[in-house]
Amino acid sequence: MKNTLIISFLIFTSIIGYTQDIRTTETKVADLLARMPVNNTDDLKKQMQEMSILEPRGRRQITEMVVPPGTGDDTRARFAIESYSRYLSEYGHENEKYQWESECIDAVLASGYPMVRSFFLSQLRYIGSEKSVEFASGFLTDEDMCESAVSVISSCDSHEKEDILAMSLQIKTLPCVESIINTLAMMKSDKAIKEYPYWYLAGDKDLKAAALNAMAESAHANVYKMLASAADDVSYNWDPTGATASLVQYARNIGDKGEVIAMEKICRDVLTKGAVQYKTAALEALVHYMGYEAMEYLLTEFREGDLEYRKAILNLAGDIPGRAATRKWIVFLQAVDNTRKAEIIDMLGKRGDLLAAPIIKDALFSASPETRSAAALSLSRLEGRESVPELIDYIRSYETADDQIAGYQALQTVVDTKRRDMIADALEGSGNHTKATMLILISMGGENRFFNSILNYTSSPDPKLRSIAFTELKSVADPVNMEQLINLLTITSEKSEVEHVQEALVIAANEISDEKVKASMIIKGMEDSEQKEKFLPVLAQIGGEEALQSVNQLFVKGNAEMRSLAYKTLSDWSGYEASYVLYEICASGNKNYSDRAFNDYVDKVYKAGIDDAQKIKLLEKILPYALTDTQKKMLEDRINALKESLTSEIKENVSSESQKYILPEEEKADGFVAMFDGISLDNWTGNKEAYIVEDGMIMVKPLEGNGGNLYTEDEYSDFILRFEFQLTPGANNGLGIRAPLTGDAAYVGMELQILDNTAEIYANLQPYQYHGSVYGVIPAKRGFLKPVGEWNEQEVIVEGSSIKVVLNGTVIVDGDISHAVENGTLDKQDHPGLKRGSGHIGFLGHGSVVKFRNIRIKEL
Amino acid sequence: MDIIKTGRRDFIKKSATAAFAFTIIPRHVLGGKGFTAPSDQLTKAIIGVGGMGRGHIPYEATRVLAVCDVDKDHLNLALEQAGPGVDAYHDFRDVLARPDIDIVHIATPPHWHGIMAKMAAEAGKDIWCEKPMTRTIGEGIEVVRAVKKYGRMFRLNTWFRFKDQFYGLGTTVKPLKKLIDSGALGWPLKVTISGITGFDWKFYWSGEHNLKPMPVPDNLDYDFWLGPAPYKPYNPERVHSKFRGYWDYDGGGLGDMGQHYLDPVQYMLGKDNTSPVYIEVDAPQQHYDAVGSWRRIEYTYDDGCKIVLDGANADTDAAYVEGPYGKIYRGFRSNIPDLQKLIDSQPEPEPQVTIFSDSVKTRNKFALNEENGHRSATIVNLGVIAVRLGRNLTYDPVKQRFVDDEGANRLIYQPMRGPWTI
Repeated sequence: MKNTLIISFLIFTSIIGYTQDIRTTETKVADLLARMPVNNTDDLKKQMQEMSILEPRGRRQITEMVVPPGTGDDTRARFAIESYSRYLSEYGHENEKYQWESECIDAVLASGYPMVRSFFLSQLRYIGSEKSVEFASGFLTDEDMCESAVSVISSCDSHEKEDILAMSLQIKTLPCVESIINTLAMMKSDKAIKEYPYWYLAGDKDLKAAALNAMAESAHANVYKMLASAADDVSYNWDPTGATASLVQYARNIGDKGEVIAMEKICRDVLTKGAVQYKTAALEALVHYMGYEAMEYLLTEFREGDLEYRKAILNLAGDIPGRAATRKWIVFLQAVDNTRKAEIIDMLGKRGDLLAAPIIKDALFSASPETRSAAALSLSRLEGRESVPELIDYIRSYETADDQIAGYQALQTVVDTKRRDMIADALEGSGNHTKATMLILISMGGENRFFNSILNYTSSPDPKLRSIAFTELKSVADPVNMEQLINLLTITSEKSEVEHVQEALVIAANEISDEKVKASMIIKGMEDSEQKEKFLPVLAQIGGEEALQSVNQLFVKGNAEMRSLAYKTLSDWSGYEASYVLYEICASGNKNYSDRAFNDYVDKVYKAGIDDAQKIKLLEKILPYALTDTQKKMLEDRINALKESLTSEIKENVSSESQKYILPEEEKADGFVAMFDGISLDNWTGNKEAYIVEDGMIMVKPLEGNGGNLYTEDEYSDFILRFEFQLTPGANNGLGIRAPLTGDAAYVGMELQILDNTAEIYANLQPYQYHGSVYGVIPAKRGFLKPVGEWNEQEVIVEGSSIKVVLNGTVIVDGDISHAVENGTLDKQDHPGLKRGSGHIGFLGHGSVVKFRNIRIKEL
Repeated sequence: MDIIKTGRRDFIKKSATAAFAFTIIPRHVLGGKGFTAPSDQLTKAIIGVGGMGRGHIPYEATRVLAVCDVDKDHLNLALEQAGPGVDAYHDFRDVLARPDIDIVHIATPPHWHGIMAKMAAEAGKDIWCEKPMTRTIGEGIEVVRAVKKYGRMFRLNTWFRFKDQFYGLGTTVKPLKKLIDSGALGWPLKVTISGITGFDWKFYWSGEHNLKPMPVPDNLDYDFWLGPAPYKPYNPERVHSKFRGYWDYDGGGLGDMGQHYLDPVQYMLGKDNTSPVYIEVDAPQQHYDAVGSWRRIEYTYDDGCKIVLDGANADTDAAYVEGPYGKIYRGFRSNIPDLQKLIDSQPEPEPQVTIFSDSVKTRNKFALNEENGHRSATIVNLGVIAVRLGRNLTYDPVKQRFVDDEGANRLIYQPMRGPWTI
């Protein structure tokens, strides 16, 4: 009725859209609220403009709808109010903002409920002006409202607020005193310095902390004594009142005011007596105020400091930019030990001042390995790609492992195609360790043009260098290199080296898409070679028909030794196509090989990436050749296993049509309907990201948190619900009945537990938490769940106040909730949901994987 | 050896590194878990031992000495899991008072991160903080200041900029970083983060409207749990594992996953020292208390690079990264020929410190630290503010203030309930 009214008004207004909106304020308010929440920002803007033309009388109708939480549904009103404040908080709505500020203030005054009042006060945080500050200050002595009031005062601009807050601190019974002091501290106010000592002395550790911090921020000369003695009392260490931190902060603040001597004095105290973090903070204050003048402090402290302190100092070095400071560090580093030198060089690299480049280049060739490695990384940072020539020089000059690693790490961040050539050109004449490093660096780009450079070193007499060369072949090998690799393979004998060449051959060959061409070069190489065994593993990896035939030929025609090698190749074959050769070997009745061929054939087929039906066919083919009972049994077991999975696949997985749940005829006749068709969650609502349809089942797979809930769109009151479920170990879910869509269904509706209560973690549960129980209300019998992983069948009969649960044919719950409604529940919690006559049915996520299927219902 | 399925060059990389390691690098340089003597083991405390915090117990080879929570049930579970020799605390300041703890892990809801990180820095602790780094931009600014001022090491608990397959990319971030640095995609770039490109904005972390006051359970010190947040009556929806849905404590799915998804993008685009200048938003009207969903948030940097959060998966052809010369799609598919070869031939990105205990011991900044972490948390918080206010924003990345928007600026620092302050 109301809707038609509104619609007719809408039609009316659209016809005479250019005339004034003649709806009554009440209708406009209703219209506005009916739209809350709107779906997009443009629409929101329109609605807020509507709200703006409602006039105070209309908006008051909305503000009057706000009630304390738990006493009614004022959601739409709160949407409108909050959005209006947010809307007006944007620049350009000044007049409306001041008007709304007054209205929010009136709304605070109009309500006697603290939670309503603080809601309207919180609006002032967005839009409040001086007026709000003045208004909120009236609540500073109100225990319930003072926090909200302070938050308004701290959010809004006002010339008065410093005085107001400072004055309030004279009231010794002030609630929220920490918040007031904290706000003054944020403002760096010195108006309340006379009040802080009182609160500091009278307060607990929280209040003391607040007072010290506010004193520090005040930067007033009169507070120094108290701050200094507080820090001294805790020996310049940490304590819960943050005394030392406050003293340092004070120093920083007076530095800002230009009281440099006093600041330096405090910082010097901290540097002599403080814990490392406060010394760092004191240096930071000195640097912040004195800039370059603080260099001497940094250098002195750095010289004596431990690693933690030194690194913190180097981090502060960045706050004194400029060449003069860089120069200071450069001079300084010549006079410190190697560890410190290395640390400074590292800092200079990050600092990015090219002035440091010469000294870093010198350091690259220093006598200290520590200094050299730091210099390598530092130089690559500082000069980027320009550093490559020096770094090459460096790794050529020092062959120790640490130098090679440092050089490698530095170069890998700056070497590109062009500079890889520089490295390749420098190979000649380098030491063997350096050459190894260089081979890795040039091959890491995967550029084929370096193949020959690398190949060259496979004949090196140095075992390590040779090993790197062999290892890196595959990084750069392409099909054009296959002949070279085949030659190399023939002349290589060491096992791991042979394997590297084989890998490179496989990689190169696999770059060729044509199957025949791919194998042909290897086959030819093998045919020409006396060492066929080296080629066989390559063929096994490449696979394909051509390769298979050539290996089969070797098996058929070769001598005993060759047959054995060829057979091994077949059994190692990467693809499953080798299985038919194995079949032939088995079927031929070869006395040496048929037994092994049988086993290998079965294995290959069973593991092949083909579908189960095909596997069964192939396995059945070899059944007649099973020689022993063990073989026969092994084969039959595998066939059966496949058949089983195939039938379940056919049943559940072949096509979506076959996954469709079909209600049994007798249940249909009895009045049952399917609630889930096995395919879609169309009639369900809730978290469809965690609840998904898989193989005709609803599966809850919580991605994070509890996975949420999935409810029927329809509501049900009395019914017989039947479904099947499958648990994972320790799984927890719930069946919500007569539930609303929001809130915890166990309380606001009813939750029948779905739980693997066989799991150890649930050993101490109460019977009213067992599987099937009406959670917290009616206990269930335990012990009738099937083993985890099997499907359970459950029937739930809900009629009036009686609830019955049948699990796998056993009645585990048969109770009545009216008793609980009258006398309280077992878990002594409030269960308002027990009074609901109807609601949604749903699955309630508790973070576990659970599956459901065959869900059907009959309404009673 | 199944090299056909893994990318050829991937395989090569691994073997090349391995060969290098075994032939040249002395064993002590490789280090590893087995090489830490127990006396050298770093010690840690975990503040906030809900599900996430308990997950921190086995992190790295550090020894837990203390766990802290305002919920007794959480504490009991944590003690059970952590084993003997671990002390339980209610008040985190008692944890900070212990001189024998090196690292403090902060795994509380986000409204506590800033306060605790700052206090931990002041107490001389190194910090391992859960994401999102802070709930407000202002708290982030304060954490950056405090960590530097007190000379601390800080790591944020996300890691995709330096390890693990990155969601829809299907590979680590490194090859993409190399590709972008090569210039092959051109400039400026547009990155789209959506279901289409392989990310999930988890809108189920939206809050409930009109929560009823409920009795506070005995195990929970609710007032302490709220801490700096404004008082609102207890309801289980607000707290454990649900807090993400409320502005007072977090920022919904964006708060939850935003820094995971955005931090690597910031790294790839080289924006670790700056922030976007425009934020455009398309979202439904937002509740005063509960965080809701949004359809699109578009960030623009001053050089024209864009990050688009497409919550509605509206752009069904979206590339993950798009530049004037090329695109990279989900699964690292691309229209650039010989992509892998191009990437291989590029220099490696700057090395990063990726083990926090190394960072603590050597005092070298961790890969994802308070500074770049604050910038990627800022991307999250800019989005949260734009969604909350329902309007587009202009931001000054140097001043870290909004331009001409007083209402938005009032959300940079937000008032805290006493005695808490930052």
